[in-house]
Amino acid sequence: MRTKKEKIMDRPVWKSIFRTGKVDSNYKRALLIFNNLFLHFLPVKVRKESMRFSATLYLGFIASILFFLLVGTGVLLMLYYRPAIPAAYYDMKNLAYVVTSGKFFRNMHRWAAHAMVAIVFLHMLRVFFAGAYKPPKQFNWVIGVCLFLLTLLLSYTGYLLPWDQLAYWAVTVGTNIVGYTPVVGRDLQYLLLGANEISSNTLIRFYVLHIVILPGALFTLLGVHIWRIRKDGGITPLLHRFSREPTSGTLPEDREN
Amino acid sequence: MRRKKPKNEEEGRKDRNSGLEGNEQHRGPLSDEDIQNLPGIDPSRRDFLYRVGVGALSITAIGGGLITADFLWPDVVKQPPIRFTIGTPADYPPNSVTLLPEQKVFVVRAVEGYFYAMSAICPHLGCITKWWKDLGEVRCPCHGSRFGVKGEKIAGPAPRGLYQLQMDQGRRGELIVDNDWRDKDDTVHVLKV
Repeated sequence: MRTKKEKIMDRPVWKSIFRTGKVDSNYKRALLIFNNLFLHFLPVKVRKESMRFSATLYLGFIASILFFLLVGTGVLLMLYYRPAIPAAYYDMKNLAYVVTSGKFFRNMHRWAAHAMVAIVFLHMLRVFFAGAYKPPKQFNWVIGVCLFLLTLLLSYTGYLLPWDQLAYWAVTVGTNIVGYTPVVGRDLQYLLLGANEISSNTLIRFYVLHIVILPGALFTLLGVHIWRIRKDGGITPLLHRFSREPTSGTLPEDREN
Repeated sequence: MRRKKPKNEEEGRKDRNSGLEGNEQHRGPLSDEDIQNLPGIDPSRRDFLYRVGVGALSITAIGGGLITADFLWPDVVKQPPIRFTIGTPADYPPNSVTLLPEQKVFVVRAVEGYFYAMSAICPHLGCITKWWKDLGEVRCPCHGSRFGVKGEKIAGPAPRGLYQLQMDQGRRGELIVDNDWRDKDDTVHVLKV
């Protein structure tokens, strides 16, 4: 007597959506991960020691979760925000006082942004003190630094969008600092501002940077970053106190001795 | 390069082309590439056309890149006029410093009949400064730079004094300020009215 569930799963429609079939062996479990677009990015198996909280404090994971949270709340906020003067300021007021849960999503976005900067920084420290940048992982560290810079730039471009006093003067000062760069400073400042001084051109440029260019770059580099970790054999845990392998996580041919 | 098997024993002998068919070229000790790369030998037609093609595509690609980069720097910007009139000398009391907040300019009427103008934009990082009459100083609220009535730097992180602007008088006696403050030096430009 077959159950209803078994009958449904026998149907061609079901089989065309869920192609791996009944998962009842390790092979099938691995195949499920391999066959899935979203899941195959991650490894089928991970080492037990890398799952320990004290190995990484899950900082990298938290940072990527925060990023997706920011994208989610960001898209919601975009539905009520116009990057124009004076609409920008009034739309922020609208979100804070009129829109249902507008205040919640706006605050979530802001808190997640601050948290992401802090977490990414702590993640950087963790990687450094665990020696997880050692060969062959040197370039992944470089990618990580670029990710950190992108996080800061995202923070900075987002700061201008409410178009309040804090935002206006922060960007005035920031772009003036850019203007001090030798040789290319004035041109770079003009490029950022979109004019000779902070104006509506500046707002739209920062908006496009904040919602398209920088998140796109961050998402791409994040992919490379995680991919490299996977290809190098997974998370490098902190040294176990009694480990006799000081360079655990480094390939034999890349070790110094 | 495989040779075709001779159809019968009589054709087994080498013919005039040494067993080559169709477009095959004679392959001596030097290959075609080696011959073309010898100094003094002109490139083959195929080589030349290939290089022309690569050159043309490169010019297109680089040109496209440059045009796209140029797109990012706007050619026309909306901003307030750089030269503007600010009224007549009678509008400004003697020995006064007036801030025009829209244009961010200090208009100073010093000794009777002498005018000069300075940009109110702090040369440190761009905040708008304020004239403190009681202290006789221009002060910046952002980082504390202080300037004298002639715009000279007294204290603070500003690298120089206030930007000095050119003033003119129009035909009907109206005062005109040239607010092109960038790259202006510290020399006061006095307008005698």
